[in-house]
Amino acid sequence: MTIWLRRTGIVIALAGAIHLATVWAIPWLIVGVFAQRIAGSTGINTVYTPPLPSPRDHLVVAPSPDLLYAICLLDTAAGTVRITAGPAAGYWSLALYDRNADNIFRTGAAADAKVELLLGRAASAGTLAARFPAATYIQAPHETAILLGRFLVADRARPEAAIAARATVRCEKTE
Amino acid sequence: MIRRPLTDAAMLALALLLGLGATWLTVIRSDPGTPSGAWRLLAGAGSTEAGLYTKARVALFGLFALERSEAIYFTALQDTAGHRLRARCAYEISGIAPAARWWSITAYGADQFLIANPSERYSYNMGNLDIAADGRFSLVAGGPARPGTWLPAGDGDGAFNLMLRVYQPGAAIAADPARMPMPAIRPLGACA
Repeated sequence: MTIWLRRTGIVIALAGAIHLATVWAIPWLIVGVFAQRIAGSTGINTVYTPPLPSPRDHLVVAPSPDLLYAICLLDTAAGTVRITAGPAAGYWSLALYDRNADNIFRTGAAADAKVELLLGRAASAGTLAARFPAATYIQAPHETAILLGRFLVADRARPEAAIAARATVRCEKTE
Repeated sequence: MIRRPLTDAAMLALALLLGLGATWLTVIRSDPGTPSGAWRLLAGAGSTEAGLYTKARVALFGLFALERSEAIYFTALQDTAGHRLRARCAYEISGIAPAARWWSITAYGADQFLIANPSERYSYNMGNLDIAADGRFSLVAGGPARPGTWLPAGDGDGAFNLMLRVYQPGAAIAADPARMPMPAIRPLGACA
C-alpha cells in the first residue's frame, strides 16, 4: 500500500512538472521556429519584408490582412542594434518582442515622427547616447529579440503608401 | 529483475500522458480569454506581466500581440446564443464602432489562418464599413456569397472565428476593455 501511495505521488509530481514545463516552453518553441525561418530567409539584423498576409502565408498565426509587416530578427550578442523607422503617414507602429514573445517595447508612432531605438544587453547606453542622442535605449532581456513593424494598408489594392513607409525601417549593428 | 524498470517506465509514461494532457486541456482546448458578450478578450496579451497560461495561449492563437495600450484583441468562436460559428451559416455582426485610432474585424479558419476566397476579402475595418452618424455598423460573415458587406468564412461546414482588433484604443477602453460595447453576432436564415 505504501509503495503504491509513493508511486502515485511521484507520478502526480512528475505530471505537474511536465505540465508546467510544457506550458512555459510553448512561447519559446514557437518563437524559436519563427526565428529560424527569418534567419533562413533574410538573416540576422536585416529587415524582412513579407507581402501582405494572405491564406497562403503561414509565417505567424492570425496575421492581420490590413497590415504590412516589417520583421527583424535581432541579435545583440555582438553588440547593440540600432533600429530606425519613419516618418510615415497613416497608422504604423514598432514593437519589440523578447525571445518568449513578451512585448518589451512598443511605440504607436505619430505620423510625422521618426523613431530611433537602441537595443542592447550590456550597459552601453552611456557611450551610445553621445553617438545617437535622439535614440531610446532598451535593455534586451535575452540575446535574441524580434522587431515587428506594422504599417496600415487601408485598401489592399493600393498598398503603395504602406510599402514606402515600411521601406524606412532599418535594423543595423552599431559596432 | 526487469519488473522495476518496467514499473518506472510505466510511471514515466503515465506522468507524460497526464502532464501533456493537462497542457492540452488548459492551453489548447480551453477558450482563450475572458468572456465579453459573444467575444473573448485576450487579456494580458503581449504583457510581460502575463501568466504562463496567457503567454502560452497568446503564442498559439495570436503570436506577437501588442500590449493593451497599443492594441486590444477580442476573438469570437461562438455567436451571441453560444453556438459555434460555422462557415455554412451567415451571421450578422452589428454594433457600435469602438473609439480607437483603427479597428478591424477579420475571419480566420479553425487553423487560425486567413480563409481563401475568390474575392480576397479577409476583413472589414473602420475605413471600408458604412458607419452611421450614431456610430452603428453592421456586416454579414459566413454563409453563401452575397452582395454588400460580406465577409467570407470558407466553404463547407468548417468552424471559423472572428478577431476584433482595436488599435490605440480610447482611454476608457484601454482602462477597462471588458466594458467596451461588443458587436452582437446573430445567425441569419436557416441557422437562426
